[in-house]
Amino acid sequence: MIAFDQKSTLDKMPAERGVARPGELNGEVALSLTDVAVTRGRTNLLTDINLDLARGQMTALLGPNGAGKTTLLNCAAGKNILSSGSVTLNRQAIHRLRPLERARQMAVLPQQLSLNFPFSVEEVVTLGRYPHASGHELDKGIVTAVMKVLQVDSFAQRTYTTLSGGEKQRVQLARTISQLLVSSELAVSQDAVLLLDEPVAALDMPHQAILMDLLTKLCRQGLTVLVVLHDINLAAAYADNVALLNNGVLQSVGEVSEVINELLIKQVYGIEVSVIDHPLTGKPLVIR
Amino acid sequence: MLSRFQAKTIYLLLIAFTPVGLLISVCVGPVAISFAQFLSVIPHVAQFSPPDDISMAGIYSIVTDIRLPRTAMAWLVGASLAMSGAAMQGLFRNPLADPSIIGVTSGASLGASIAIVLVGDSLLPLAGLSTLVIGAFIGGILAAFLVYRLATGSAETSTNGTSVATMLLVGIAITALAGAGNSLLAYFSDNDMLRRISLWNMGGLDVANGLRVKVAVLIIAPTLLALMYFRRSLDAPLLGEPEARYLGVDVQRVKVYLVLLVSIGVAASVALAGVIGFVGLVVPHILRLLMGPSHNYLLPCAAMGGGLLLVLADSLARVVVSPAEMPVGVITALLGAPLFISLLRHRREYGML
Repeated sequence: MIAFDQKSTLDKMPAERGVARPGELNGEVALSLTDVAVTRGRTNLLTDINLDLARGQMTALLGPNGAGKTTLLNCAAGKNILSSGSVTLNRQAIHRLRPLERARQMAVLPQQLSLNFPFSVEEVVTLGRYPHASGHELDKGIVTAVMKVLQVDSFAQRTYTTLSGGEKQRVQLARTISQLLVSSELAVSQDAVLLLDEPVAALDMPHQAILMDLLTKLCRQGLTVLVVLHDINLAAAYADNVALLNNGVLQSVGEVSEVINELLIKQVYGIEVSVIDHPLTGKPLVIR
Repeated sequence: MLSRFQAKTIYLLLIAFTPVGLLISVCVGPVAISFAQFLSVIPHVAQFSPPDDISMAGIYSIVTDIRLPRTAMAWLVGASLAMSGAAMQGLFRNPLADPSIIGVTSGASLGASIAIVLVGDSLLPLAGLSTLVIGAFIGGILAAFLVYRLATGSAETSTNGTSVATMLLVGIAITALAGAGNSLLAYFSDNDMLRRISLWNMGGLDVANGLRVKVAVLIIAPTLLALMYFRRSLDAPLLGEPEARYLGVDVQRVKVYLVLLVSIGVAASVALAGVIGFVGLVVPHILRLLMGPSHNYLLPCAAMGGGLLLVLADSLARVVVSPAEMPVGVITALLGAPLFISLLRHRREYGML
């Protein structure tokens, strides 16, 4: 059921001291957070965040509730909430980019969306093509292709507001992904960065796999993904790198096998777990 | 499944029916004008020269002095209210929004009352426009500006710029405040003033004349065209403001311009024709039920639909109790509400609430 690409993680250099900056492993940095801190009143939501996302890699952001994952994602998305530090997207300061320029390079899917206007599913997905002046023909092709992969094409003409939670989530995923594509063969634009906040929370297992497979496939073409996940095993199976956030501090950043271990999980989540090798894939598998 | 019409079909139908509606409005009234009479008077209207024939000259002056200005003003006011309503419902992501949501209508109402009670209509008629019209226009703009400033001021610390939710609440507060001012003025006014205030609040297009139409064309028409410019940027904000930003929409800019355009257009409409309810709230909903919520077609269709509804309602208002007139707001509600309710009953899934 769960497919993944083992090779792509095996031929990478091992990182030093467990706090690797993934970007250094693979040349080009697509998205970079440098010395980012977010303070609200006297509370430090994020402290001293340094995170480089290398082009073509999927980084899973893990951490307990309230660790600051969504805040970190908002910073990465260019929201103007930084108390200090800087964020660069494709080597440009993200807050200097005009909204359209940014939207052509980066798509973001937040955790919660409330759309209560009676758009059809296809119209919602087509909104993802808003930043591009790519013409009706190509837009239609991309939208149709993405809807097919995420299996929302069967209800493309239904009203969005009547869908179930999981169906809505898939429609929004289709919209967000179609924002970064350049052809109906699912080719992704070369400077594309995708930020997803708990995209699988409402999805059943087959659709989780479909989404993660699609992301893996797009990453191989150069898409850079930062995805907030709660399922450590899902992250271990698909992500190239893992960033573990706790109390607003990046506890550990690095390859899956370095970050996901019993000690760190105990430290961050406060629970005793066993980490074994997955019998088929050799990836870490967390069991209680 | 979605059982609605192609947006383009509705769009083309409205384009086709607009001239019919305008023609009906020009021909219908206490003095009925036949289609043949209308055709024969058209060349004279185009050349601004009354015909020699006495009876035709009468028709000529009815058409040029009364019916054409009235029809044009009805269309512009209806178009402005409905298009502004559609834009505000989209911007506020709220089905209950209408043009009055940013306080324009109540501000205009207060401005009109102040003009009637405190200034007196005979004083300083500027360029032929009554103080009432000017007072209402200024009142409407000031109220909208106040709402916008207050909503922006309170949101400065957050990252959102002007908070739409705050604007909604401030709008309600300003509306209540203006309502209190209105009541206070009504309390201190005499019978004649009271009657004029309540007549103005009912709205009507019988006040249309050449000058008012010129004002309407100069102020309302440009706001309609400018609103059209935003028809593609209004869909993304329905997902939410941050999401619209992620899609490349400069939400703050869209908000500022929309509020500005709507307050100018609606303040002018209300100042010229009084408070005409229902059009701004329900026409966009009817159209959304028929053709879906995409603003690309919704905005122009709302303008044409609102214009058409008000033109036809005004025609009806002239004939049902002829030679007297019924307030046009009564007609718009009587025409539109049953249609709206029946549409809603057949489309439960529309439920935006």
